[in-house]
Amino acid sequence: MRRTFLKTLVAAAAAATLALPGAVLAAYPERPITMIVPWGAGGGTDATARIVGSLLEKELGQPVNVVNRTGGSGVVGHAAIADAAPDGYTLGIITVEIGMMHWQGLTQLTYESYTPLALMNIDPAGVQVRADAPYKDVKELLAAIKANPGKFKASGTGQGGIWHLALAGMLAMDGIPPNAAPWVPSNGAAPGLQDLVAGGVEVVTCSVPEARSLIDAGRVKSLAIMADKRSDAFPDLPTLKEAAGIDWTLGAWRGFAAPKGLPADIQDKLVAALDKIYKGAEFQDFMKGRGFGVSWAPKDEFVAFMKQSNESLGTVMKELGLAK
Amino acid sequence: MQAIEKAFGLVATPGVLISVLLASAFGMVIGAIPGLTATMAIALLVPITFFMDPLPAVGAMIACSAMAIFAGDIPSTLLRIPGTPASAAYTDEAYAMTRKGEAETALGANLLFSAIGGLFGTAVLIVAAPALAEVALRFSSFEYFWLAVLGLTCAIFIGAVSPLKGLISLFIGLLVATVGLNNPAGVPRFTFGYTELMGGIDFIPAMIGLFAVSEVLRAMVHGATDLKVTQSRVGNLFRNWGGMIKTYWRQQVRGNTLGTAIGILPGAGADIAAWVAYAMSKKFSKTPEKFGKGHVEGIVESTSANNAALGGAWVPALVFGIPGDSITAVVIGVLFIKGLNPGPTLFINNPESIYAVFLIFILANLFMIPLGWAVMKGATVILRVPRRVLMPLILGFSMVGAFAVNNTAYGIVIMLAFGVLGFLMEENDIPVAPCILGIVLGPMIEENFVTSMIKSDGSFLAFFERPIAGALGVFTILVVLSPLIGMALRRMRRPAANAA
Amino acid sequence: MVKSDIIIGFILTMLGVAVILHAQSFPAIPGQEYGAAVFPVLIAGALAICGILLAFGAWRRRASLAAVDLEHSMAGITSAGWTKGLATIALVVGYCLFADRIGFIPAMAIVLMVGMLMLGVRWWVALLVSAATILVIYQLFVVLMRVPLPRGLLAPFL
Repeated sequence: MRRTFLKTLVAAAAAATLALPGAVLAAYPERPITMIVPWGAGGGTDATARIVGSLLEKELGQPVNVVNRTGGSGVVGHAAIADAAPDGYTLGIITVEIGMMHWQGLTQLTYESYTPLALMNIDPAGVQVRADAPYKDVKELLAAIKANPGKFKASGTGQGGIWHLALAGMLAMDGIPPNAAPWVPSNGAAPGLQDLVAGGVEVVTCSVPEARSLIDAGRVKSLAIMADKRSDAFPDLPTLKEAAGIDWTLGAWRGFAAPKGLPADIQDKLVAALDKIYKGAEFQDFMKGRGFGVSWAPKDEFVAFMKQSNESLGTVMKELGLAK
Repeated sequence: MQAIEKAFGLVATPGVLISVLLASAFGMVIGAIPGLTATMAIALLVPITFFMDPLPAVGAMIACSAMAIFAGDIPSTLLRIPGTPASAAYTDEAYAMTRKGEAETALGANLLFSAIGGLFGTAVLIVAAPALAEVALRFSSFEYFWLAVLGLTCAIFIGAVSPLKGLISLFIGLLVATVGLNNPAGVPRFTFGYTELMGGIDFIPAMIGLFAVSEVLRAMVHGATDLKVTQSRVGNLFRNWGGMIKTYWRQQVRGNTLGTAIGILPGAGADIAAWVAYAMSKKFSKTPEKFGKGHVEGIVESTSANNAALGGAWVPALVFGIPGDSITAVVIGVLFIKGLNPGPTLFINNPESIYAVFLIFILANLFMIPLGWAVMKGATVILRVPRRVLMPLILGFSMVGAFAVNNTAYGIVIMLAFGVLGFLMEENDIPVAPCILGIVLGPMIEENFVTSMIKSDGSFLAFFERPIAGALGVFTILVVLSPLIGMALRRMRRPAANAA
Repeated sequence: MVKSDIIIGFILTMLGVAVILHAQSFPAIPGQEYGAAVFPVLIAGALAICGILLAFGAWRRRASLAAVDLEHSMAGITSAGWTKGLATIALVVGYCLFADRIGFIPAMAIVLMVGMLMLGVRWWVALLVSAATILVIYQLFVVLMRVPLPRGLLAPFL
């Protein structure tokens, strides 16, 4: 009894080892897919991944398990995506931080460590102040910062995070030293905004959707967005260039990627599925509901986008003294 | 009034009731499994709720999270595997009751006072949400700093045998909290080049290790002798409850009030509430010597506080869209998608949906009693399993749970390391609970201290300049100094007594 | 009690000193007065002080205590006990190392079986309980909660 059990086990093991190369050749996908999210459950990245995951499940006919691998400001999860087997059964959502972490010397990973699939979302940074603040527009705010260097504090994310760069780049482009508005690190946009309302800081340069509920509540006002054109969700909000003549744009983005070396046929299948999802009403409704911006750039376009993002982030970080 | 009637109509539909009931059952099962948390349960519901109507979707999430948080007390009581830092405050007390054969009493108290605490929190939410949210919005880093310090001081009161050893445990926890990248400066600390360590040390695997794995190791090393007591069966739970409410009404009111008050502050929430409530209960108890040895009094107060805090966390979430914890963060996202954008206008433009949400809160806390009772009765069966069989099973579940927190074997490594640490600590009479408190509050203290100093350009006085911060600061300092003052008073009295 | 308190006090003090020394390598942050080193150094300092107090207190108490209290508190553990404790740790380490390759089911079966056998459970009881436990874990974690437990060798069948 026991011996036959063992025999079966050995046979099964052998079959498994032999079957592995064959598995890739069979029609993809034939088993569940894991999608890694480098950020925690509950955030915007997690929500985006979960919606795309459930729609991908319908497209591909196999379960898509969304798993969170958090920590280290995204380093841990980004590394987990890059280190997985490029068999199409591990995908991930990568974010703007992939173009920042390597400049800080936190990891060797860059956008080149992945097989890019598609960019699906960009949220430009905004300039938010308290609703009762005396500034009518960004120009007045910048003048106030220039006149009182060090007096006004800014927040919205951790030290050296994406929104910190947004502020520093804006100041630098206007000829103001970036440390004229000292950065107060916060654990994400929500605590930063709360501190803004509580009177702890004067400016929060997070994305506008993140501030939306406080804007709706009449506690916070947004002065401008750092994009080259106005947003569909907030058409009254001027761009930084319109409001103050500063040619500076920066946004957080999210895209889907696989480990490097993903076979071309699987890439095509996934990109086609993502394209269909992007055009579908469910995805568009979801992103609109959350106030997230949508943006589509498949494969090579995604690479070009990431390359450009990587270089402009590197420039700002070097200026700030954040790059190693 | 008309809005309330409409709200009843919205809730009393089969669709809403069924989804609330199903989500409650789901949350109850997930919460009762060691290692699975309420946040994980909620995140799994996101894609499902996307295809549901707004009210059933939000109702399902509320019900699921409320059940999961209560059910987390079940493995905490029976197996010493706490699910959240909030239940870690009284894990040892509840487990001590299990060892005395009073598992059902402990769980019954948990169930009853969780439900009442939840209802109290909801009542506050209904009456005063907008006004309370205003207060919550006044809290800046200065206030949070004092609050976190106040939370830490509880470790000194809880640390039973020797205050010095309680402090040692607390400092170990605080030191552990400094590992990783997640600090105000954003630089890696104590990571020694390992990517996984950059993520820091997650408190859930650490907690499972310190409490559950240390217990398994102890059984392995000393032998797994069965508990010599038979578990007393509390046949009719409801009969016992009247007596408990009567005996402990003071503790319950105190716990509810404190829990709601701390719960409305985004980010502080149920964890600090439970610890402060437990410490307060001991401080004001007529029989503080019974604490830590399986006494229901502290459990009543802290379980009331942590469930009341849950309702409180919705105050800033609904009024300003500021998430109090990861659960409300998920739900805020769903509210947006469903067009129920959080904000004061939600109360004006859409009063019937907001009242409907409140009704679901009440409903969830009422469903909790029968569902919780059933799960409890089922779960206590495991106490009849011999410990030599049970201990390896606890180890297995701990390992899978620690893995599931972040879907990585690194979680199991943390769990094991803290299991060994917890074993060594407890063999030497160093309590493990303060260590958890240190891991949870460490980042909060550092972050709020550093950001406050940046804001005030390095002036310590700023910690007392804002009115709420000043009051909290003076109160905290008095609490810290109170043992010293007490000692001084006793010294002064003693010579007088000798002279007489 | 006394002996172990002195040892623990010594270890904690050393740990505190080591952390303080290591923290000197943390970089200063431009624009932040309180850098990354401040908190670890404060905590490590407090820990070292607690360690010294613990060891010193135990040293002063040693004269007034009976011989049995002077013993190491873990002295009562038999060598068989130590072996089982270390074996448990080895089981978990082994699971972490090999679960990816052989898969969750066989790896967990080994942990549960060896664990129960060490505590004196009869082999067929251990086998049945392990099988049932794995089934329950699989249903709850993999099927219901979609936790990606490693499939390893059994991948083609799951």
